Amino acid sequence: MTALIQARGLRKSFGSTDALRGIDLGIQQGEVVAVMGPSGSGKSTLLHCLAGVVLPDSGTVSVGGTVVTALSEAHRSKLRLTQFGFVFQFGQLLPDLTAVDNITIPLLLAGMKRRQALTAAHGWLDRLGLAAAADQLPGELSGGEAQRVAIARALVTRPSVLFADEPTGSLDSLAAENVLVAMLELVRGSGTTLVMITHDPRTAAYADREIIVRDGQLAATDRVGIA
Amino acid sequence: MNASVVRLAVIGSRASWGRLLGITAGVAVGVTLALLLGAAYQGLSARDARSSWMSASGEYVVGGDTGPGAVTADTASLGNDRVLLAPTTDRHEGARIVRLDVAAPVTSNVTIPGITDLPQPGEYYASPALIDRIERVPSGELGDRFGTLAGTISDSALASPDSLVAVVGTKTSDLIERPVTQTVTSFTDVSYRASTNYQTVAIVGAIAVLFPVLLLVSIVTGLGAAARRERFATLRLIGATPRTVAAIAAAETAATSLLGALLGVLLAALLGPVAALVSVDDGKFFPADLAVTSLTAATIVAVTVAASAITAGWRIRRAGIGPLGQTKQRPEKTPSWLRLLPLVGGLGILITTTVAVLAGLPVPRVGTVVIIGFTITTVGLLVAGPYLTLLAGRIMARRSMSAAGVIAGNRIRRTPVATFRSVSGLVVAVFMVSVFAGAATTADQGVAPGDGPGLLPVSSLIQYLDPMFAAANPAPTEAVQARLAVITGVTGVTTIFTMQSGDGPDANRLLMSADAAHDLNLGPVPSATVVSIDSDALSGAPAVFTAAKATDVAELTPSILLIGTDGSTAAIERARTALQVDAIAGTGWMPAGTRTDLADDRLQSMAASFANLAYLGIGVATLIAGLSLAIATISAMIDRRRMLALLRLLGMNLAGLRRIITLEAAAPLLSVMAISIGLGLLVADLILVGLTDGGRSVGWPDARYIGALLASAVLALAAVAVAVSRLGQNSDLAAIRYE
Amino acid sequence: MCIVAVVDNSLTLLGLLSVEPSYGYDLKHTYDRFFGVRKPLAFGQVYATLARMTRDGQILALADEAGGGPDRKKYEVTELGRNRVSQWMFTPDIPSETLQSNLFAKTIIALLVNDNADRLLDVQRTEHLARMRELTREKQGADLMRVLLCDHALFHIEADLRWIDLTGARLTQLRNEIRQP
Repeated sequence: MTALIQARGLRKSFGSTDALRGIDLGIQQGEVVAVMGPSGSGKSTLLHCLAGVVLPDSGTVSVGGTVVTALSEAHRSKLRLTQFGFVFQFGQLLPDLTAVDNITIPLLLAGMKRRQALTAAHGWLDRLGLAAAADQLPGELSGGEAQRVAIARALVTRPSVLFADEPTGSLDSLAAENVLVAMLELVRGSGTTLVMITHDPRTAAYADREIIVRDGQLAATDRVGIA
Repeated sequence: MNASVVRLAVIGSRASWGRLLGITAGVAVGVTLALLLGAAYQGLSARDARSSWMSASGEYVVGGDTGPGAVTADTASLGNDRVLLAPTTDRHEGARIVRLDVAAPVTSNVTIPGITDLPQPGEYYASPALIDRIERVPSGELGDRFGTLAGTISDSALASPDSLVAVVGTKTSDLIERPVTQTVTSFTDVSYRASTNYQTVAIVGAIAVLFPVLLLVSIVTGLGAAARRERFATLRLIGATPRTVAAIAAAETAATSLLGALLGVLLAALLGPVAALVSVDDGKFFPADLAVTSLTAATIVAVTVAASAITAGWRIRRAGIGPLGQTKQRPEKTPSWLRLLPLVGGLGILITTTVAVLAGLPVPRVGTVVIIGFTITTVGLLVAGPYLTLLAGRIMARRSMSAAGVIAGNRIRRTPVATFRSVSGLVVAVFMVSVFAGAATTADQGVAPGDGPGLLPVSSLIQYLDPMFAAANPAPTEAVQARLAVITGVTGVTTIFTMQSGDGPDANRLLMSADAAHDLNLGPVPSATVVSIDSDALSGAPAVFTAAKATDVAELTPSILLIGTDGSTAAIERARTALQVDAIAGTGWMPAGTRTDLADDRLQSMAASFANLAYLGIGVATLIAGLSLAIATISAMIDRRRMLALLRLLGMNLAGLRRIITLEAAAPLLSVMAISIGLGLLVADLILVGLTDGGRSVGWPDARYIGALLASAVLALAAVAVAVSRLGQNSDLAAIRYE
Repeated sequence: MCIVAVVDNSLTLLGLLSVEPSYGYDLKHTYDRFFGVRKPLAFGQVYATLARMTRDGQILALADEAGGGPDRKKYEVTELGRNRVSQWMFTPDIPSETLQSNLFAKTIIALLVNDNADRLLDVQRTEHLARMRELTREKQGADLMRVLLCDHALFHIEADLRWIDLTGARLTQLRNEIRQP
C-alpha cells in the first residue's frame, strides 16, 4: 500500500546549521505517528517540510500523490487550507475572536457561508464539551479549553492530515490526557492521519508508532513504512 | 541605574534604532510645522501693522463749506497739519492696486510711512511690485495713470512684496471735487484690523495642522512598543523599580525628542523662505515675517521635550510593566455612547448661536462663541471616533461573510481606541477640508462671471461718473465718447443715464437712447426713443429692454459710461488708463472696472482670501495624517507578527492578509469619514451664518474640495499599501514558533 | 547496588573480550572498573565463565605464554562470540523496573567495542514505547482502578525512557570518559 505522506531525501539548512540531513519516510493513511527527538534535532523543520510550510533545500514531499514541494506558495496555502490541520503548544487562537468565531475561520476561508460555518463550529464545540465556552475570548479560556478549541479549528475542515506540535506541551498531566484523548478519538473516528511532535513518551504512547529524529536524520530503527 | 544597562534597554537592537529614528523624524516634522505656523500667525499681524497707514481716514470734505478751517481749492487752506486723501482701488490685469491720492502743501508736517516726502502734483511713489509692473507694460496701459515716479515705498510700509500701492500727488482743487476725499492729520497712529475673523482662521488652522502633528508624534513614540515593553520587563526582573523604568522611558524620549526638536528648528529656519512664497490674503510674505525668533524656538523646543518625556514616562507607568512582562494583552475599555456628548455639545453651541443670530437675538462675541463651538466639535469628533469605530466593528464582525471581514471586524471591536487613533488624523483632515471647502463656497459664488446671450460682456468697462459732477451739461460725455472711440481695441462707448430724482417707472432704472441700446446688441429693443433696463444688468443679469417714460436723454443725468472693448487685456487697460489720464469730467474720481472686477470687490471674503493657506495647511495635515496611518499600520503589523503568520498557516493567502489590514484601516475611516464630511459642511454653514448674520450660506463645494477628498482617499490607500507591502516579511511562518 | 546483581555477567565478559584479547586477571579488573564498583567479581566466577564460553566456542585460549595456570592464559573472542555479543546488544530488554543495569552494561560495551550505542538506545526506546502503547490501549475503556495501575506502569517506563534519552544525549561525553585508562 502506498503511503499517504511520502518524503524522500529531505535536506534543509538554516545558514550553517543543517536542520535536516536526508530524511526518507512514509506515513500511511489514518496512521497516528509521534515524532520524537531531542531539542534542535530537526523535528519541527521536518513537520514544516511535510506540511509545505517550509520548502526543503532538496528532496520531495508528496501527500496523497500531490508533490507538495513542487507547488507554488499559493497552491500550498490552498493545500494547507483543505488538506491539513495544525495544532500548536499554545497561543494559536486569534485573541480578538470568540471561541466559535475562531473555529469558523478555516471554513470561511474555504468559502463557506457564515451561518453554516457557525452551525458547524457550534457542533464541534458541543462534541468537545465546550458548548458553554462558545462566546468566550481565548484569554478567558483555560489552557485545556483553548487547546480543544484549537483542535476543533484544525479539524473543522475535515483535513486528511492533522499536524500537531507539542499539542499538550503547556498543560498539566490530567488536562493533557483529556485533550489527547479527545483529539485521538476525533482523529481515529474520522480516519485522519495525525503527525504529532512530542517529547513526552506518554503522549507518544497514544501513537501507532514513533519516528525518532536525531541530528537531522531518522534514528536507525525507523526505516519502516517506505514503499 | 547603571548607564550601560540603560543603553542596553534603550538601544538594544536594530529595531529600536528604527524606533528612535522614527520618533526623531516625527518630532522634527512636528516642530517645523508648529514653528512655521506660529511665525505665520505673527507674520500676519506684522504685515497688518505695517500696512495700517493705508487705512488712514478723517473727515470728509464738504463742498462749498466756508466755515473756519474749511478746505478750499487753495492748497494753503490745508495748513501744515492736514492733507487731503482720496483712497481708491484701481486694477491692472485683475490685480488690485491701492491708490492713494494726496494733496498737501510742500511745507506740510504730515508724513506717510515708507516715503521720504509727500508727492507733489504729478509725482507719485509706488511699491516695488507696482514699479515692476509699470515697467513691464506700455505706459498707455498703466504708467500714465500716475505721473512721474518720485520714489519707492519701502518694504517697512508694505504688507507683502506683492503689494501694489501708489501714493499719487494731486492738486487740492481736483481732490475737493471727489466724494471720497477726506482730511487726514496722521498716517501713523491708525488702528489696524485685528479682526476676529483673522483669529478664527488662525486658530482653526492651528488645530488643523497641529492635531495631526501631535498624533504623528504619539504614533511614532508607540513604534515597536511591544518589543520595548519586553526589554523593560527584563529590566524589572533584574530589579528596576517601576519608577526607574518610567524614568528610563522618559529620558529616552526626552533625548530623542530634543534631537528631533532641534532638527525641527533647523528645518523651520531653512523652510521659512520657501513658506514665505505662499500667498495669503494680500500676497506673499517677506522672508523676515516668517523668521523664527530664538525665544519662540526655545519655548517650543522646551515644551515639546517636556511634554513628550512626561507622556512617555506616564504611559510606561500606566502600562504597569511587571517583572514578567505583560503576559496578556490588556483589554481595552469598551467606549460608551457617552463619548458622543462633546460632539453633540459642540454642534449644540454652533446651532444655538446660528439660530439666535438668525432670530435677531443679541449674541455677545459671536466670533469667540463660534471658535469655541468649532473647537469642541473637532475634539468631540475625536472623542466620538472610537465609539463610532466600535459600532462599525460590531456590525462588521456580525455581518461579515468573509474570514478577513470577521477577523478585522472583531479586531476593531476589541481595540476601537487604537484602531481609530491610526485614522484619526485623516478624519480630522477631512473634517477641516469640508469646513474650509464649505466656507469657501460663498466666495466662489459668481466669482467668475461669464458671457452669454443678453449679458453685458465681461470685457466691457463700467465707469461710474462723479455724482457731484454738474449734470446740466452732457456735452463733455459726447466729447469723451469721441476721444475714447479712437483708442485701439475700444469697440464702442455707451452713455447710460438715470433720473436724478422723482418717481415713476424710470426711477432706479438705467436709461439710454434706443440707438445706443441697439449698438449694445444685448437683445430686442422696443420701438421708443429712450429705453430702460434693470440695474442688475451691470452685475450679470440678462438685459431686458423696456420702453422708458422719458423721451429725451438730454433731460436725464449721465451716470455711467459703458466702454466696450475687443476683450484683450491691453485694450481694457488702455481704456482704463485713458479714462483716468485725460481727466475727463466725471471719470477721474473712481477707476473703471469690468463686471469681473466689481464682482471681485463685492465677494472678497475671509474664506477666499485664506483659501490658499487653508488648502496648504490641510494638504500638510493630510500628508502627515497619511504618514501616521502608514506608520501605525506597520507598527500594528510588527506587533502582530505571530497572528499574521498563524493565518498564513491556516491557509490564508497574502491577499487575504492584505484584506484584513486594509479593512482594519478602511472600516473606521469610512464610518467616521462620512460623518466628518457631513459635519464639516454643516459646521461651515453654521460658522458662516453665525459670523455673517445670515448673510451667507454654504453652496456646493468646488472641484478643489473633491480633489482634496480624493487625495485623502488616495493617500490613505497608499499608506495602507506601503504598510501591506511589508507583509511578506512580517508573516514569515517561522514566527509561529520563534516568538 | 542492584546494577551488579542483574548484569548478564557472561555476556558482559564476552563483550569486554571482544574489545581486545585479554588475560583472565585483566578481564576481572576491567569488569570491576566499569560494573563492579560496589561488588567486584570473584576470580572463580570469571574463570568458570571463561571455561564455559571456551566450551561453547565463543572464545578460545591463545598459546600459553608462561605455561601453567588459567590466570596465565590469554583469551580471544571468536566470530561466533562476536555475533553473540552483537545479538545481545541489539536485542531490547523487556521493559521492567530492574532493566537499567543490563542496558547500562550494553551501552558501555557498545562504546568499548566502538559499536553504535545510539542505535542500541533507540532499539530500547522503541521497545519501551511499544510497551507504553500497549498500556495506553489497555487504558481505553477500562475502569479507573485499571487506568491507575496502567498509569503507574507507564510512569515507571517513562522514567526509563528519560534515562535513555539522557544517556543518549551524553554518549559522546561517556565515550571519552571510558576510553581513558
